[in-house]
Amino acid sequence: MRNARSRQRSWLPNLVNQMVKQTQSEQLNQIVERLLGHPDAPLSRSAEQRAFDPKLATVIEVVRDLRDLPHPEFKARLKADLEKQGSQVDGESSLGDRRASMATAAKAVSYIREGFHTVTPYLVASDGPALIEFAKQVFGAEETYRGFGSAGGVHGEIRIGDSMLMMGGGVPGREFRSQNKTQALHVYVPDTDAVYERALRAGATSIGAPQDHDYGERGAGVKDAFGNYWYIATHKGESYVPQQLHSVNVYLHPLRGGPVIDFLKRAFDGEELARYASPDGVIHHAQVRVGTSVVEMGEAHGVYQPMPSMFFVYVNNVDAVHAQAVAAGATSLQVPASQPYGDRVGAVTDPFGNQWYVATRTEALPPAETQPRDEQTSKQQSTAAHVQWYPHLTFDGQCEAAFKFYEQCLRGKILFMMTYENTPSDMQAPAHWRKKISHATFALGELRFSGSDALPGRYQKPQGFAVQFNLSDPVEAKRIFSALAENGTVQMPLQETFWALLFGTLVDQFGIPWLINCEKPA
Amino acid sequence: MKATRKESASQADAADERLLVEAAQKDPARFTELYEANFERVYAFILSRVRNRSDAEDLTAEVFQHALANIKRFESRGVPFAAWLYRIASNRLSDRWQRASREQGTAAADDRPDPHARANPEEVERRAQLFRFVATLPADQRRVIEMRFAEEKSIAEIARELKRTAGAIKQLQFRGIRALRDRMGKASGGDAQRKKPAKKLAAKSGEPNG
Repeated sequence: MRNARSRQRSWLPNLVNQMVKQTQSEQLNQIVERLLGHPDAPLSRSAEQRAFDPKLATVIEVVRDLRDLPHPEFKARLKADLEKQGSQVDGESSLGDRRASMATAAKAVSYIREGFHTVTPYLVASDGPALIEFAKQVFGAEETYRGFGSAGGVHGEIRIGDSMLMMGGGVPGREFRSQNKTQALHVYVPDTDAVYERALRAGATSIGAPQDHDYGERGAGVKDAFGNYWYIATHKGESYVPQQLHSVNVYLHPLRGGPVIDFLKRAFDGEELARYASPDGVIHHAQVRVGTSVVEMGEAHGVYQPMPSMFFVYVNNVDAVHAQAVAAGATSLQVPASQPYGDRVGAVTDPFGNQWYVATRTEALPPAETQPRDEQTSKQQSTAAHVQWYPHLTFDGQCEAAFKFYEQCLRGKILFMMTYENTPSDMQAPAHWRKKISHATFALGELRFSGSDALPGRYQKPQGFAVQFNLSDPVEAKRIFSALAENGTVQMPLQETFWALLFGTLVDQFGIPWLINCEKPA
Repeated sequence: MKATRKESASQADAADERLLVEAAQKDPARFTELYEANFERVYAFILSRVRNRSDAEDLTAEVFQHALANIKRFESRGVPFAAWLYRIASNRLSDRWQRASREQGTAAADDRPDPHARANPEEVERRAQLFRFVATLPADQRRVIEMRFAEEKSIAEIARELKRTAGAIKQLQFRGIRALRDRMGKASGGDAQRKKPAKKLAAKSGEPNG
């Protein structure tokens, strides 16, 4: 993976060189000590210059200025805090107690699902449960979720150390077929050798036996039965996971690293942390920070070839990032839409074949909703691409009022609401329409519907269509019917029919037709 | 020839900045891009007046939080965004010293730095540039520089934490500082000159309307 630059010099000049450097670095350190130790001591620059190698003189200024170097953690923490403040609907309302909000920001950035980092690998295998089992056996992974889609696929979520992985795919004996979607992962563990042994016993093949690397870690590599590469590593330091990295880090092997780094920067505001290239320009190792994660890569060579992979990425504004990724050369796979599991999700395929599911957490679901569900009742799908079906209601500029009205009538809640002014390039809304709603999602238990304001002049009254509401409680049916009817038009008052205890139809004050249906007990 | 290229580069910078400001005004979540572009500058400016890390951090946070809360009211009128931030920072510094002198009496107020004494803007900008360069150093050098200067750790502490010898840490420190010096040398030849938000700008900036 990583190559130390090999120097082919004869030993003698090398030794001399080292001795010179040693003295220089020692001299420099004395200057640093003095400047750090006595910050206010007057510095006679000429005295310093005489005292030390004159080549070091120009360095003194740099050292003095470095004493003011801001703490990188402070910079990151403040950024997270500002992100949080900025992502609240109205940036002006939230100054409040800064320290309190800093503390929350340090704990969790709200648009990221709790327990997750920015980038989560999504592995797909022909036998999903077998892959999950492999991760549990080898890495001691903890399974936090498993659900099954209506087509029979599995979606699982597991935790290794401080990181989450999503895994999915087919299930033996079921119809659903799934192609392997593999990737390479750099996984830090306390004991590389033990994990490597377990991996081989669990059916993986070796790519490299454990060995010490000169970049400060002991590492090994295995390939699992589905083709994923696991780079097992133990960092030599205070923690077995190096600073900035997590237990699980995604590792890419692009043909050329430059364009991928560029894409990550443009699409996800990535920040290049390191790049180790040989003189001929081959990138052996590079790191790009994406939010709270670091994406690593090394250009393809030998057995390390590109694996178009799948990733789940939490960002603070999915619509903006989706547009940004497309502008950076990706192809849209899925336009952002709110999902019943509390994320708003879109997807793109990058120019190198990787799929990126981009999501913003819009709702912190109570734990019960994210816990594993019973196989029969689970509505989870096998992959991040959900199939959902719910009505979308269109309004002539009254969407917000209507949704607030529904909150009262139906006793549900608005999960998500976004105005045109917060969408990329306003979605061509004229100035007086910027505060109108470009998308909103309403939830009542498991039920969902969405709504929006049509652009001016584009609104059409709903016809030949109604939202049917089925209830079992006649008292609640009456309450909802009369609440919805306020300022609206009752077409058929609530009454007994041959199929229903109570049935009625109305068009509410915002033009939406409703059928309220309360069936006879069986 | 050289001058025109510099000029057009600074025009491009101004256009970029305008786009960033507009994006942040539409969507405050985009403010972090302005933050990234200006953090070092604001921090260096404030630290040149308070000479105390924790005060500088508090004030830097206040400046950016105030700027974010009021971003919709910022009108550029050709004034760089940084100048507006400097203005907010100056006001915050004045507030702080007034509060301090009220609370601690005139004795404490006497040895305070004068908030109106302008820190040399070129110097502030040079430091900001240096801080930005640190972020571009190879990871091991950067880590050592950050631990040594920002976290104020000794060579022995760093060596222990990074599991390297003291000599290796000194080498990394040396290589890092030398690389920074080289880059600063190059920057003062070209780059730094067009990036200076001069004294004039800080004076010219106005508060947002209200």
